[in-house]
Amino acid sequence: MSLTGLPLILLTWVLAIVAVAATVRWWRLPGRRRVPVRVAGLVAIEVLVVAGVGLIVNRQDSFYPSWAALGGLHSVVTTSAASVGRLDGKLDNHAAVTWSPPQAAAWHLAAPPQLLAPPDYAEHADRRFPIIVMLTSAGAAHQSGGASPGAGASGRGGGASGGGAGEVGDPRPVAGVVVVVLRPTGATTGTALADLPAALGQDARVTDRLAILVDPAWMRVAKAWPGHPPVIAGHDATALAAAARELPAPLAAPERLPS
Amino acid sequence: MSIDGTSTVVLGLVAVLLFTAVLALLWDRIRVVGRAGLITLIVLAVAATSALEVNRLTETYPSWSALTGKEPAVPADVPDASDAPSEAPPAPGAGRLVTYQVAGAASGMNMPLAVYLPAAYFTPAGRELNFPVIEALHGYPGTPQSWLKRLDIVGRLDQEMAAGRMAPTVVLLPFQTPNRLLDTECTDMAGGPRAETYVTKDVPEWARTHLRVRTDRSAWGLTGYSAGAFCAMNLLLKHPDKYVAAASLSGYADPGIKVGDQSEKTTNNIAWRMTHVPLPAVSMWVGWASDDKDASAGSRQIVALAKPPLTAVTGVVPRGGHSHAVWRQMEGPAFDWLSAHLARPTPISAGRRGPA
Repeated sequence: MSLTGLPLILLTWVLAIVAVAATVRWWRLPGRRRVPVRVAGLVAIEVLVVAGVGLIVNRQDSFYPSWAALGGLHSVVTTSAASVGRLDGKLDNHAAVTWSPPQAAAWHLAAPPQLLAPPDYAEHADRRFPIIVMLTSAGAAHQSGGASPGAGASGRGGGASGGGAGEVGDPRPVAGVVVVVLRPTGATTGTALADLPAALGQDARVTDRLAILVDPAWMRVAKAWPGHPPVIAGHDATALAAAARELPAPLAAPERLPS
Repeated sequence: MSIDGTSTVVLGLVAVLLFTAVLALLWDRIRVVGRAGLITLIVLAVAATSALEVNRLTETYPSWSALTGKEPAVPADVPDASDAPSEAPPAPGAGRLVTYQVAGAASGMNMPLAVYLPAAYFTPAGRELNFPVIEALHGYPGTPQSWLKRLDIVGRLDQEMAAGRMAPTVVLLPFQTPNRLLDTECTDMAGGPRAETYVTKDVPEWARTHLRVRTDRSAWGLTGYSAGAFCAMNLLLKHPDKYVAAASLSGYADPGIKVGDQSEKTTNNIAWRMTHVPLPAVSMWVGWASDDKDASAGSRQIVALAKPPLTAVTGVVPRGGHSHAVWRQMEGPAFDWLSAHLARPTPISAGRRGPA
């Protein structure tokens, strides 16, 4: 019988009336059973009336829609296991790592993206980090050696080996953030870059929360990025700190409910 | 004896049984006046015991003094708790709960405010940080004590932060009404309390001047259960300049009260707002129990109306109705999600440079 159904409410009130009638009927029972019968009858009336009122209120507001809800619940909360990124080992070294995901072909970049893991990346192995995407041409402009964009990484003869900070406009690792340095070209669009967080999620422990640092030339790309992430002009340490301020802290896998 | 203890309810039951037994025993020896008096006593005892149990569940009157209106005054303008040198250090990983009196200059409401300060607030490194903030709103009937006693918010926050699923966060637990039996739904009621102003203006301003908290919207969030869940979503949509995210635990699409200016049909109606006003760039976590008729209907309606730049994710408990058992399951997922959508604690010395 349903806890919120009319049958239960009616039954309760019928029993309450029966209890009243029976208590009156046997109120003057002779002998030693008189007092116990009276007490039992009165208590039954009290319980049934309170239950009757409670059931009506509960039916209206569905506080406890089922007997199971009244009796306690089996938790459906889950936590996913801590994940790993394929480049975790390289990222732990605090140097820039060249990142070559298959999706990068559609991004039309002047050079492969560079990843900079935060100093606390290895220490917090159970956490995922938000992303700062840096859209800059500074790789060429700032390099005293005059190397063309991308020469830094390839010149060191290593697919994913470390590159100096100078080749990517001097970004330094930022605590609690994975920095991705992108050198866009005229063919790069914000929409095409939408799959970057998901792609990066395979290779590094990142979330989909991101902020964009942008040089004036690439504001067009930043503004078209889906989801309206915070956009901050510049690519120096101050701009990096400002972008980090906009982002959540690195966190362990959250508790979840079925959606 | 506390007003909200199980033992108080048990005592009420004992009184009911006692009066019942006396009535059964003395019926034949007393006159009509005595009989009527005893019956009245029994009815009153049953009603009082039921009221005690309802109060125990909702924490509408968490103490006898709250019932009599003679509550002891809480400090009005205490300096930052972390600066009090004589205080014993809290247990490792345990946050601290402090209650202040917040007199709202803008709203005129003058109510106690329970403040959860995370363990990190008191560490040497934490003393140099401004923390993100969550305002947690209670249901109706209810008080901030419902969050504290029925939902053990302090224990849950400690647990989530210790596990790294939440960043250290300051949590504010404001009253939403000066009158415990008046349901404001966190609105500025026509000719009544200005709860919306108190919650969204007075309390944040007090926090900014008395606590080490971030002042920008990207680090401010809202949550609540039942009526408080409506409050959290409604206030997020109405004040996107102050808050960036809200988590709703069994909330509704409308306030279910008369605000006095018909705004329950328009500006204080979430469904109306989401169909008549451009949506702000904010995020919502919307949770409900599938067998909670009203809240699931309202919550589903809100989720269906969500479109960019507003984003909404859902958390569904299959069974449990509109009960504390459901909200205890939702606390962890809701707070973890909120923390992942609020900006991090930042060094006090950091520049105030904002987004371009």
